[in-house]
Amino acid sequence: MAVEPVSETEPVRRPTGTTVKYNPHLWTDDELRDIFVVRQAQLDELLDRMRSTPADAAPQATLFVGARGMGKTTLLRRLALAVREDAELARDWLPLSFPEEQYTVSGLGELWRNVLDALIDALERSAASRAEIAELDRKAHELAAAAPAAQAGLALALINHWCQQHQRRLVLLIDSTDLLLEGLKKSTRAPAKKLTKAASAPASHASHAAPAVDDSALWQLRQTLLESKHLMWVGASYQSLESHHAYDQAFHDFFDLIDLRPLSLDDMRDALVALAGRFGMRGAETSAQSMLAMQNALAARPERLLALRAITGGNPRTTAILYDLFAAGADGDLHSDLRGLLDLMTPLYKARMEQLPEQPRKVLAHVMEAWDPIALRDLAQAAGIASSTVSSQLVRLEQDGLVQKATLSGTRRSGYQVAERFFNIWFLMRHAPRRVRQRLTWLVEFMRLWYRADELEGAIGERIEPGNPYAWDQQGRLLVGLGRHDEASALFRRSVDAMAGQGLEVSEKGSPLLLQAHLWLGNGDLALQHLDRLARTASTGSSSGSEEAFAVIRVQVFECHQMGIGIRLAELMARSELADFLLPYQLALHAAAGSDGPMMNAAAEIQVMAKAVLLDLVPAQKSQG
Amino acid sequence: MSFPVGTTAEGTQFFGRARELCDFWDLLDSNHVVLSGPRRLGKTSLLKRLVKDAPAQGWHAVLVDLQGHSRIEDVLAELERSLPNSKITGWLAAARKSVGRAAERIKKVELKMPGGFGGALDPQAPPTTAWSAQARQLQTRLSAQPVLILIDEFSVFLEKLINKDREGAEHLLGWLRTWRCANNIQCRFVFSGSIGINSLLTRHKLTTYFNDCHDFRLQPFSRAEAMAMVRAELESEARLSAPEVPEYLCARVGWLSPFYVNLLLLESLRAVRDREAEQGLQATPMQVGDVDDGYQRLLAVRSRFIHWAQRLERDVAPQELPLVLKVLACVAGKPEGLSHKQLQARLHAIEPEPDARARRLESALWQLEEDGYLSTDGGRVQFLSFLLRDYWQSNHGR
Repeated sequence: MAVEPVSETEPVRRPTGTTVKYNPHLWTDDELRDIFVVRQAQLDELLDRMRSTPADAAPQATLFVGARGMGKTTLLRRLALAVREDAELARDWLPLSFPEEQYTVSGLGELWRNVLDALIDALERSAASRAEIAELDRKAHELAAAAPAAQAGLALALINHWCQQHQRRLVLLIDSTDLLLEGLKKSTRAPAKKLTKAASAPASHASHAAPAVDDSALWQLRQTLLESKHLMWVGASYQSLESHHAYDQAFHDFFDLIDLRPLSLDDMRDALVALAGRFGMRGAETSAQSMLAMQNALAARPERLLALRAITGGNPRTTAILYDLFAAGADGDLHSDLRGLLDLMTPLYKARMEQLPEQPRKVLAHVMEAWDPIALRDLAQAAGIASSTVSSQLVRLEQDGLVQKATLSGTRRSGYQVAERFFNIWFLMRHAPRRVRQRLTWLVEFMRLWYRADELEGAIGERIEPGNPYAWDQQGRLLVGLGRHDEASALFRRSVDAMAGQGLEVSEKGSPLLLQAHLWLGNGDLALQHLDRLARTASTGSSSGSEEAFAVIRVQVFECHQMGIGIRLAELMARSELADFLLPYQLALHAAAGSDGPMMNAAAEIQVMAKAVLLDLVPAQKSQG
Repeated sequence: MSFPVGTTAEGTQFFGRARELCDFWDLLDSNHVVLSGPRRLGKTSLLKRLVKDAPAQGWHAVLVDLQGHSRIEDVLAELERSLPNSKITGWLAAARKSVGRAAERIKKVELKMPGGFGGALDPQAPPTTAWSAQARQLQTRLSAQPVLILIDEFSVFLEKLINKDREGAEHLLGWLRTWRCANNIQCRFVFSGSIGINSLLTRHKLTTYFNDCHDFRLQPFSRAEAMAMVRAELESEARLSAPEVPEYLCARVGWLSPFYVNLLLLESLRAVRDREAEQGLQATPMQVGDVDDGYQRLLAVRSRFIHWAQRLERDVAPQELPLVLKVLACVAGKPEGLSHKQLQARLHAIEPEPDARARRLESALWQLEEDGYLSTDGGRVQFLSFLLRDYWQSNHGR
């Protein structure tokens, strides 16, 4: 999926507000065309279907299913744009979009009147004659005076008449199909089926428990969509429709379901490059430069993309949200950028929480606190609510697209996690206990320091000069590599002595060398002192000293692994007073030695960090993805 | 990709069913018919095809879909609207001039009815209902006409009516039966619906109202029909395939409902498209591996199946749930299906007492067939959906 530069020389077109980036409703056609790069196959398929559906056949209805932020709205908007821009398609089809409030309708009459309104809106934006629009508008208004029971038929007849008259078909882009279909149901007294032990003959199955619904409107809608050659339903839903899978429901197996899956690494790369082209990169003047800069940045450090995917879960909207962190590059203040983004999302996320009644909100909060997938039983225990109650609340939260099932770490069993990972980060940064917040902060810090460490590695290397203890240390590592362990030990002892002679054994500068040398020589307690010193410095904030210490630890981890003492270092880290801080390194060292179980069982954000470290240790994996 | 995976198949999209259509026309000479069978077999598509072919067979046919109706009066009005005298007489005039089966049929009808069309019949609508006059008028007008009235989603309408007004439903069914059983009537009825008519009538103890109709149970495609459809659809998509692909695809589907065949074909085509995009190729033939990939993609969409499991937990009484789950697990493990006897043997641990076991199994199977999980064909119980079967085997099989 190649991403073409917008223009070689065109200046970067910045949006009027930052929120534009996260809200596809606000994108202009140009922005939509530029940014839409990752669901091209689905778009092409729909366009192909429109071209190949015979004029005398009812078009196949389609439903895109995906969690919040997976690109459903964008895809529908892009489809409308593609039809409008294709002369041949536009001759035969007219795409209709609907304002959000129109997704909750109380009956078919209202639905078809909304379609009429959308048709009139679309005609007003086109070259249709004023007289024709006025006439259609008048007829639509007259419908309001008709008896409610007759409105659906009359409105549909008007729509069909227009289609026949103009030899055009309508594409109904229904963003919240699930909401709309739900609204068309009405509760009644009739009961639902229930199997009972007493039932010995089929007739006895008629016993019922739960209230059923009057779904006449759904069956009528199904009939219309099955019969009509003029209407093509292209819907989106953040949940799978239960009625699609219920054998006795109107819409059983009715739609062609297309799952919008999380973005692959390639998709994310394309999306970030496209975002760069549209919204710019720091230091780049033109769209083409921005795209090139983003491509280079991602090619140079592919693990950044891995980390981003782990945090976003491959969610396009979250990718767009976190794009700024990438756009800022190593010079940006990642931590404050993240905080800014969290602030930006607060109204939306806060409203989402507040809309929930107390009990599901409580359950959701506990799912978020867990961050990792959590088992139903553990959730019930944490929330102090009976499992059966939690289970029913989870069903509701799942239906609302807020949580999703995921495999429990290290098992084949399923648990629950929050579907939108950035929503989870927001919650933890705002509401979670201090310890959890620290973990998240550390994740952000880690990402920043990790990229920064690239630049510091060169500076550290400059200190290794012949004739000083660092040189002996370097030579010692070379000898280890050649298998001349006794000679290596002699050199390490010599460098330790030299450091003591120069009074450097108590200084911070000596710690990297002494950590490694003592570890090799088996002086665990002495090595631990130096490890703790480095870790303390690295974890004390964002000063240049801490950044350097962080880079030093990264180098030490790499070198110790190369020398075959990675596991010894990992064990030392487990004994450290800052074991939590060092946990990603510890897990990566174990994983590099072939034991990745502990890493896979760790919290997701720790995994992100450990995997980044592991890519340093096992470079072959860098190219995978 | 224009072939249907949810909509009805018409025109060039309609495949096979030649034998069924032939049987249908023979049956209609002297029977009214209930067209039954699980969902997604193409019953509505078949009804539409019957309407299209009817004139050549000497019938004026209309398809009336009742899924949007809930009142008897509305149904009668819909029938009135669909079969105006002007249309019938116009068709008759044209048909008389034609040659072949249509003209023969009209001649035969006229011979049977000395008083001409519409004469000498005794309509018997229930006298006490609000719609009796309307019903009597309709019956009088249509009984002697060579019209074929195909009523789709009759069961959907009937279930709503039973829930709302059981007595009215019985009156309607009684009147329809009387009409059908009257001497010398020339019109014919075909009833069908997404919800099984027979099971609905059984559940509500109303089977006697329909025991005069011939039950025509639609079966899945034959292997040859399904393969022919796959080949034709691949051709219409301008997609070459390895020679073994159509047969392999049908084998993977198992129970050859045209819907499921098309579903796997559609996903396999998507798999080819994505493979080509990854490899930078174009217009490559579909391979067996693409079918496997398509199959796995369908299976990977958890949301496709989750409701099937949740629904059982919600709707089945807790004491029956283990047995129901065991039945499904056992059947899922055997793609070729299991006989009732084999199933009974496998349920021994759950219900040791033989009579109770047989009764509970019958009860569970009835419900599972009613809800579209299983089907009994040729004495073997199997999953209707190959996907649901494999999902069940992976996630609930034990």
